[in-house]
Amino acid sequence: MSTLFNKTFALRRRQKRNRYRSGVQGIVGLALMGMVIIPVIFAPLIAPYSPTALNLSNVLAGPMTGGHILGTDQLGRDLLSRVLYGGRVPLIVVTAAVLLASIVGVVLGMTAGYLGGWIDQAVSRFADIQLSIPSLLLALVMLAFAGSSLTTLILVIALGSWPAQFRIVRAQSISLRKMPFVEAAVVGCVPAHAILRRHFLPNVMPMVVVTATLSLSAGLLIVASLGFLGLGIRPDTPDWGAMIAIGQTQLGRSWLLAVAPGVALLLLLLGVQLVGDWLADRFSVQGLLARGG
Amino acid sequence: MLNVDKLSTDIVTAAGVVHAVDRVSLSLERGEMLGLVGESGCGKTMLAMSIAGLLPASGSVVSGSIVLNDRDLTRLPYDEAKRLRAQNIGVIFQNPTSALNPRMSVGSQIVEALNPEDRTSAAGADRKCVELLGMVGVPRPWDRLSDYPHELSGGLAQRVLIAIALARNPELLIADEPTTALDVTIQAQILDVIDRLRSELGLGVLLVSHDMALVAERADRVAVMYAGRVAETGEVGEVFRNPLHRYTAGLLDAAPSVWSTGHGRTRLLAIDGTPPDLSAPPPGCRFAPRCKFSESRCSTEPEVVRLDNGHTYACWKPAGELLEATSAEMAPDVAPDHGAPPDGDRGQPLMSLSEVRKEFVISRRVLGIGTERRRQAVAGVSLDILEGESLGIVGESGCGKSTIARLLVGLERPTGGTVTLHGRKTAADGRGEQTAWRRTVQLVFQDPYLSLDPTMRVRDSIAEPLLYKGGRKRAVRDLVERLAAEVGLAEGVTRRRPNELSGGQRQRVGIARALALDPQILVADEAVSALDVSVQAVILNLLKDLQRNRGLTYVFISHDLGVVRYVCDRVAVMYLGKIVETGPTERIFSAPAHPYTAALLAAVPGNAKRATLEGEIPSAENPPSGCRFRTRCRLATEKCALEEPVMQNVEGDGGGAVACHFPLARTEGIPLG
Repeated sequence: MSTLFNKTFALRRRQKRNRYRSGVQGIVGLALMGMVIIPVIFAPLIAPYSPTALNLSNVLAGPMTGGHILGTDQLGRDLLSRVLYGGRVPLIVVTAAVLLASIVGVVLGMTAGYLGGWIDQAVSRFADIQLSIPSLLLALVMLAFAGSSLTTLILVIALGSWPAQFRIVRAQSISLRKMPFVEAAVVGCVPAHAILRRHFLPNVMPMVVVTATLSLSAGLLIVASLGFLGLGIRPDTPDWGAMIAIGQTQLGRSWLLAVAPGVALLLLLLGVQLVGDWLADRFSVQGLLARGG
Repeated sequence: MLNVDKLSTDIVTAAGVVHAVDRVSLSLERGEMLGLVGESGCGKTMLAMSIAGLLPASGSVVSGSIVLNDRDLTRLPYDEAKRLRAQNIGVIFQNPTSALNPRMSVGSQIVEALNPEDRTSAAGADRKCVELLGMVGVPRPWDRLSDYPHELSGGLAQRVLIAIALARNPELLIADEPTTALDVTIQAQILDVIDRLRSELGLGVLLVSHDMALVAERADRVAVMYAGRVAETGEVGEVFRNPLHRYTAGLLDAAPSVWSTGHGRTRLLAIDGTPPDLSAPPPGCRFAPRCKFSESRCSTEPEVVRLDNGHTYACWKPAGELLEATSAEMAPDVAPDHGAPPDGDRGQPLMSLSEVRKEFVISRRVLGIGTERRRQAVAGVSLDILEGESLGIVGESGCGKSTIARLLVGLERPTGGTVTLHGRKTAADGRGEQTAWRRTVQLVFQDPYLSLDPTMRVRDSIAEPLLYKGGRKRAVRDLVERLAAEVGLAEGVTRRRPNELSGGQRQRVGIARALALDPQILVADEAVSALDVSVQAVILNLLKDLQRNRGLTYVFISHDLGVVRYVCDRVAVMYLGKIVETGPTERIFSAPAHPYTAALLAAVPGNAKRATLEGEIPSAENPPSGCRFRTRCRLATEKCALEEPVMQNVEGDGGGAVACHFPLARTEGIPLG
């Protein structure tokens, strides 16, 4: 009998450990995100130097020399300040883009899922077409034509990430439509817009948040790639992608130039992913995610 | 053969350790059927799964013994116990379709369960499968081997599951609610199979069920479980005729019976409350908090009393000889019920269906390829719903009764015929009209768990239809509180969310929401079938009270004939999209005119003239010609295949109408068996 008792206790321990681990995952993720995002937001207060102040007499200084914690780049600018400022463009662009994509995806997804019929068909095909074009390629073409600005960057990223939201919300809405509590609202003569707002929105929200974190990391990567390819905002605005591209040319002389912004990006992405996984666990939506995505 | 002694099973949950089974002892001999009854959450299934070794990962047996053929399964090494169980215990589950793998053919799933020596050759294995399928009464077993589960009806799938359970010639069959998901006619067929196997193979059967009448009819002995304990055991006849534990007596009183007359005059004696939380069960008698007869000594644990005839119970204040007196004691609870108004009072038709049809397209032609398939859910139904009546609609699943409910409330539009309310057509109206008429017909849903939005507080759910009718916030809030009080929700409950409510409370919320728009007609689609019998009684009483106080008209759709007999004044019997018989409840139940009605009644457990209706309801894609019931009817002649019977009045008391070429005369009774 003692083995059975042991089994019970082992089980309880295991359950506790699972809870503990998933909690830790979220905390670590949030900590990583905070570690990168907070200094980036407060860059003007923290940064020891202007990110654009040249000092050609002190180029490629090593770390911890002359008051430059991470040293200077090939034009003598303070690397730490540039890394801090360099996160601002990606963060603004991606946050705005994911917000926009989520709003568009949720509104279209709920409407298409609830109404069905030709509206659903039309929007779904449109989303399919969107999904079949690689986001980066689309972004390159659009930026090449329209020129690079904050607005175009946001639009380009949003365009790439709304179909994911749309498809997940639509799939959920289709199953919600058949739920008795939705039918009860229909029988109670609640208008369609109110049904969507009151019943659909709160029920799809957890999935929307999880999908948004995934879009966030995908968007960050695209912005960095665009910067790396020279399609970032402006050459003199610090931007991680562009910094990595330039640092690459100096790898032999100062590896920190490429690695410092790279590490910042990596930490942020890791943090976002961990938080996303943790949220997905919490809402236990992994299965739904696989189906909708 | 099986001896369970002081068995305790714990389940570890986030909220704490639940003592799902607490020192339960029982025994089972070969060829014997032991019924295990009780409300949900009383540990019946956990006890069965402890014996079968199928507890969830979070559960384990913590003490006691399970002795199967002189070997204690709890003391054997894991592998040894597993092997012993595989050899000797077969299990059947509640939902046959989800217990089969949809990607594997029937044959391969049975082969999987065979003993290794039966599997040596493919042909031999197939022969064994066919033998097993034949044993459980599957017609044309050779053809079934290559079928997949989705091609089987519920009844056939359950037979296949029984065949799988029998694959290793077990001595013990554990059947966990084996027929709860099935229609009453199919239920009778499946139980007949189990009965036959029991006598032919000498199987011991542990039948877990919430249905007292079913256990009373089929089992030899019964164990009534409450809150993880056995409250009472004994011979079935003895326990049900002379229940001693107050819980058993309460359960028996709560169930409306098909066989009791005096409909509409009595109230069901409900058991208030819900079973206790088993992570911290109450001290003493666990039923005491819900028991009308509890007294001070009930706070100490009652001794188990064993009578000479093997009848045991654990109750300080047993019922039994006192039964006469207890009825009197309960009298204050029984509100005088005026019953249904006499026929003369009944008004005009409130709502009428006229030749209503509803077809669902199953598959369309795509780019001109393939064939279009349609299913006729409702095939020409004419029916009047009279003001102030309770109309019951009964029939097997797939007969179209739920589609009727959805047509009535406007969730579906008819593909033919008209639905009229107050003499006005409803379907073709514009949007505003649509809204106005919908408000007077409201629906109570079957599933109390899915019919409330989990993200909303229940008061918001009740208030929702009012807000969009243009009510002011404060007036709405007051009205919601009044409605909540009317349906018997305690104060403060309305602030909670659905997951904090019990099933009965949720169903009360669903009723309050349906009443919010002050409807004239309430359509209840299987409104109590997801509830335990004790809760069901409470809700049925509530529905009756509401009808009396508000002058509501009910359309009561149910597969449970006992419930229909209790609630309804008039009954319509549906078969395969058509109404085959209508009439006053008493006449339908005492002298059914249509052979199908008679067969439905004959399949209900507890019927003295029990007979089983053969076969299953045909597909609504290709209904039989002429009379749709002819394929299962023993009275069918050539005329039935050629000519479709029309509704004709039934003569004699009560009246009504029947669509049959050869209606049963009053004296004829049931033409089966």
